[in-house]
Amino acid sequence: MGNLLEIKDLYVSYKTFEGVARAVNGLNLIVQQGESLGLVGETGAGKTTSALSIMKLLPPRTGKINQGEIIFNEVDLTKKFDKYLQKIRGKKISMIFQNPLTSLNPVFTIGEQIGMVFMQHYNLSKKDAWKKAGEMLEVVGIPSRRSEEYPHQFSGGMRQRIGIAASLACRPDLLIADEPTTALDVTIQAQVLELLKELKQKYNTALIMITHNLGIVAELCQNVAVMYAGSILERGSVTQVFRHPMHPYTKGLFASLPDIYDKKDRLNTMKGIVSDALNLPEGCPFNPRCLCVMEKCKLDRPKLIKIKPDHYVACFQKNKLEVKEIE
Amino acid sequence: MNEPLLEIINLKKYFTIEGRGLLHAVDDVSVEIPGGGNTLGLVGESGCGKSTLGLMLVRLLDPTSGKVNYKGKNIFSLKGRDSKKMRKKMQIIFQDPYSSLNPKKLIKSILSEPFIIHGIVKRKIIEEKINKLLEILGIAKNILTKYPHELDGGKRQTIGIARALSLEPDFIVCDEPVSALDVSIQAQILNLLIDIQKKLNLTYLFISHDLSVVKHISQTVAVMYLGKIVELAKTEELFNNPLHPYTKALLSAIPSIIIGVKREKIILKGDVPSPINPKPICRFFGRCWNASKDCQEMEPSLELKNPTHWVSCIRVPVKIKN
Repeated sequence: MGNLLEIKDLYVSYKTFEGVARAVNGLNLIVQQGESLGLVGETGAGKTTSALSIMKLLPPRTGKINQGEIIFNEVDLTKKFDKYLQKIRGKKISMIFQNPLTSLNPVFTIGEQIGMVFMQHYNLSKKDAWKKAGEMLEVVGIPSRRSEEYPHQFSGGMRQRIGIAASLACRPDLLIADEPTTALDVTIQAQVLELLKELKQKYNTALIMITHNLGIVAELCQNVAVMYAGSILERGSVTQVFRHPMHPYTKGLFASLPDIYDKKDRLNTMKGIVSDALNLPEGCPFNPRCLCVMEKCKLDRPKLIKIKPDHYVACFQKNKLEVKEIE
Repeated sequence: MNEPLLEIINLKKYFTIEGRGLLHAVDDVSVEIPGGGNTLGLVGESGCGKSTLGLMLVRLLDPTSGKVNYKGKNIFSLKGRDSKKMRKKMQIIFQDPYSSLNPKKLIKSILSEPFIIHGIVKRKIIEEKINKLLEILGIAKNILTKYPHELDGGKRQTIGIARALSLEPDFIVCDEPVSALDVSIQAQILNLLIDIQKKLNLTYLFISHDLSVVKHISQTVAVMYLGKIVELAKTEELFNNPLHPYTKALLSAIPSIIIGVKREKIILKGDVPSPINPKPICRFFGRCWNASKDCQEMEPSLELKNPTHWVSCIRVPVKIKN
């Protein structure tokens, strides 16, 4: 299988009043055709910025890709302009946003909004597009007669289904879901995840699932990448990373999570707070919070190193970590 | 058993919605909360009335009908000085640490305010008390000269906790105190809440939509659905042996980080129905995967089905050994 998307050494920053916020710092990521990748991290880890960079939807004046390549289907998107990108967005790559109420236009019916995708990419007439939109709604479990209604007439879970319908309308190669269920209740979240899983299989779409919820990754994804301060600290298959987390940050993250199938007496806490993009530490971005920090960590930045066929870690303590693993 | 700290009896809160009828936010809830360092977890989806119930327990909201007895006295019939005394003993921690602290005030004056309101005005005494609070919570003193915006979410929530603790309450309503925080910070706050509970013998009502958090912190758990408590049991019992079809679905819907274990999923159809003018049938009927005709006959009430396990469902058989 070929690489559908390859991000090479990407740097993105935002101009703010307080200075330059370095949101993404040396991101490397590969997504293969039909793969489902979970991109996890805490607030401010650069997850959403990475997604917006792929779509080139960064805020025009403040956000900037400083360096790096985003190769999608063998084309470097960073060098392309709107005219080309508009053909890609929604057709080859689409995105589902966190808040379905703000990502849908309140003054258009949902039939019109989904229909627009078909009109834009397939030059369908309004009538045909409307019909297609109705079919798409049925796919996500909403009766097509409701296409005449407006977003506010739907509940949160339904709105997210509409978002999914619009984003999958053209059967894209890659779907980026940015925290699609964070705003939803658990039972509704389960419905939406089930739908995503089903449609992903049906259309063989590659999926980047951006979330802070590790449980969702465990249920939905084959692979996972753990992001922190704009770069990836650990990457691998879900089985490998969830069973044997290696990076001190990933380990800390797992130990600090309460789980309903697991009884922890006390939650682990990580010292300090997520590093500030305005003022990133030298060397490894995690070094101020790391429990096994060395001198070297404060000077150099570790690269992702392969430690098992499907497991990569960016940490100088790699050898030590492996030893622990064998014991 | 000793007398409960808090006794909630047939508590109801209805809101009038212009032109649409009555919204049954909390509908006939009766629970006892034992004192002495216990936590009652309250879970449910958004709009099920958890927060409304929490607000009534500290009398930030008056009920439509019903009673809340605190140490045997109904808090809604207290007036004047008695009411103020009661409020000292019952505090609340809010969900959003950004909007619950006054942005124009220094942390010091935010923390002094409860003392001044309750008649402790000597600056030296207040300072002593605040210092003691910070010591208990493990916060450095330099925080006092800062404004809320200078703190991160976790620190802000710690200040919210400090403020709730300042008057030495014995009951605290924690209304989704960690929902707005990141995982690593969430763990810090949860640990802190557990530590001070042990240290100060506090009783919590812990409201959350996150079942794993509730499981971690609570001894007893109540599950709420559309204004009613549908299941109430000891934490272990509830999680190992859920009886109500809603609780079962809720538990199965939570994505777990433990992989490789196949779990049966119950995916509920549809959305939570509107709490405005509900029909007098089982509230879960429309979404229930285990419903029968009889469920439409009447509203089930919370009954003891197993020793220490209360369920509000007519399809769950009673199993109490005498």
